[in-house]
Amino acid sequence: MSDRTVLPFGPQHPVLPEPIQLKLTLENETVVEAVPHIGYVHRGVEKAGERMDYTQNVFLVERICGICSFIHALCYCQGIERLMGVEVPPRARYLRVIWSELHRMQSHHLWLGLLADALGFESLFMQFWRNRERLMDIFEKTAGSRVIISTCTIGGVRRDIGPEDQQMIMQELEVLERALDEALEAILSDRTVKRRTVGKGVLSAEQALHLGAVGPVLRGSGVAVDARTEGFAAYADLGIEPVVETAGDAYARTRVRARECYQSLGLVRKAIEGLPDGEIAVRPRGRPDGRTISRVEQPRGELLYFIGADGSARLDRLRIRTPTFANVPALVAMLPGCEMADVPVITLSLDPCISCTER
Amino acid sequence: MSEAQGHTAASPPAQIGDVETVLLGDLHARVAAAREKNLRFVTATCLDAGENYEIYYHFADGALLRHLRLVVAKGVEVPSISGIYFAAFLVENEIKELFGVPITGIAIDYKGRLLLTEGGPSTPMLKTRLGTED
Repeated sequence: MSDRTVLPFGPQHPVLPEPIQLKLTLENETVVEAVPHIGYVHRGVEKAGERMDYTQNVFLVERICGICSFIHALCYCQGIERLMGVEVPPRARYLRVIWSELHRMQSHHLWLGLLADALGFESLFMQFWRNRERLMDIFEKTAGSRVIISTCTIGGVRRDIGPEDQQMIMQELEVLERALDEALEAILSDRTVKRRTVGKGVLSAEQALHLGAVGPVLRGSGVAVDARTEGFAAYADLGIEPVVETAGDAYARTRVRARECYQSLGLVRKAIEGLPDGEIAVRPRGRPDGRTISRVEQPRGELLYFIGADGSARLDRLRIRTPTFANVPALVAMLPGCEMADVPVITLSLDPCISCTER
Repeated sequence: MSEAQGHTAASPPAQIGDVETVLLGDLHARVAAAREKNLRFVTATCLDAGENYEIYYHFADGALLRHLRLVVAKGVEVPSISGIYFAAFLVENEIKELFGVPITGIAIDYKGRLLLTEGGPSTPMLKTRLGTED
């Protein structure tokens, strides 16, 4: 029997922009066990959500994560709206889709750049991030801020997107689509990328379901689950089919995110073309009472908020289950049997967001 | 901006839908049945309900959510479901640390050190601290 070595992977590592540790047990170069350790930057957001006024929580939850802040706010606002019986105006529902899908695209561009960088493609990394800047510029022009855009509110949205900005977005998307074609061709057809990702970190559909995987990890294993198909915001009007790949490996997860960029492009265009006239928000009256679960689809997968309220200004319970938190068990299951050299790419293929995990 | 009517006494508080309340002794059998049906484990939610804990186990049946609800007195041991759904190990450790629920047999048990450190607060999610009157 070979000697076993325990190797800490993280909390600081070139492929980990945020701290998480995997305690890897190795036999020679093969991983036989992986134990994850989180808690380096836990912030106690759920507790804070019980101490603040329910309206203030919008500002709290959109600061959980800088990459998908709008979608955190959307999930929370939808839950509160359900508890208060608020009917969000159609225009606000469409605007919510536009900002959500722009967030998904910038998140996937960020990740595609990180993948390119991890595989040694520095120029490609810069190309993805340069393209991402176009999306950040759209946020700045439409919301006044590039990262935490703060446009979602209970009852609708805070800002409108007028005809000039709609035209600007459509023009930017044209440029972005052409740039995406070039960059994705480089990453999806490259022999080196395929050798580092095809057949790595394989997760079957059955494993993915039983391990509670979500998002591109689940859909990359052939399971067609996407919370957007439930039709929240304006997704019911716009129509959506989950993007699915069946191989269940790191390459399949990459393809899911790449194809979702095009899906998001289409959704934003469709939402702008069909943007209804009318108000962008209603003013809620009363206070939330009861319990509800709100689910949305973040770039990394299903986000779930359990909200308990008792009719007072403060919530009784705010539970937040983020997608990376759900995907950690899948990572633990996919690492044993792989070579140590593949651990960084397999870990990265989850697109881990530790800010979300450490609410 | 117009105004929307919040719910009134005539419209009861919203609830979370398909909830089945289970007894402690039936928990494993009900969770095993969920696994048999290929339900996806979503997460668990713990609430501090005064003398009791209220724990929801959430599962996805396609697009639908189904929930098992367990009510246990504080101090009563709750068996881990991570032997059936490995995915539960992380949230069970979280509940054990943050609420003080004595969950036993967790597949990977961090023994109270997943999120909290020595000398840090204990059971910070409880509305009243265990063993005190504040």
